[in-house]
Amino acid sequence: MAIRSIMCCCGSGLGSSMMVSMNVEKALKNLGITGVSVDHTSLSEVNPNSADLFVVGRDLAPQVASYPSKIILDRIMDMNELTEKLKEVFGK
Amino acid sequence: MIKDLLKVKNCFIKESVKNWEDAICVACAPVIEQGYCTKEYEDAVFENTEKFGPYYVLCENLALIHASNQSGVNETQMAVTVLKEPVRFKPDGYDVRILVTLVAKDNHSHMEGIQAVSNIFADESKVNSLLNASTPQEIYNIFVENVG
Repeated sequence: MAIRSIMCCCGSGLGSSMMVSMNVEKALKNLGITGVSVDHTSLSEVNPNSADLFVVGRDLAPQVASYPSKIILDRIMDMNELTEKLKEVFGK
Repeated sequence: MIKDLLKVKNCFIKESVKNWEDAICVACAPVIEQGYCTKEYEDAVFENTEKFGPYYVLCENLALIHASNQSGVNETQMAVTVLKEPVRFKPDGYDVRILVTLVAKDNHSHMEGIQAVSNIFADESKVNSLLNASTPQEIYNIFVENVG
């Protein structure tokens, strides 16, 4: 399934998720991937149908265990880790 | 605009804090005193820490102290405290010397602040400039220069 939307989530929906969403936008641009919407919110606002792909920090991994498509970040601010994981998901 | 989010008077250099609880109180004091949020905001940070651990420690040296916009938030604002001595929010956690307090009334009004934090922490030399800042004005300038 083509990924058209990415939702970055954290506990409050305005700290690390916003930072990660900006990094996702940068990484997609660097990878030459276009046509994907990127947004951020709190985990309590989403369900597995809210987006095609979810990005969360390791601490929230248990809460998205049932989500089929996700990226779990060990280091929330690490562009290299994020880029590598996005490459994998997008088959780049 | 970053200039609406952060003020020189809300940039601080402090020798040390007693412990992580003290770090939270020190970081939140200016925004509470100036009415950007109520004490309820600080209470929410403590409650969330109890439930989830120190979710605001994002990497070495950085605590982005915040709660949700439902907890006593009046207006979007930030404060920055640079500590000379590091503090840990859990025994095996990162050493933290930069406390960025974030009060956000919605999920976009503080974007330039997050941009600055993100850009600073993507570059070790910028983090070092912040750690070595000797005046509040220097701290402020580093944030303003790193928007975008």
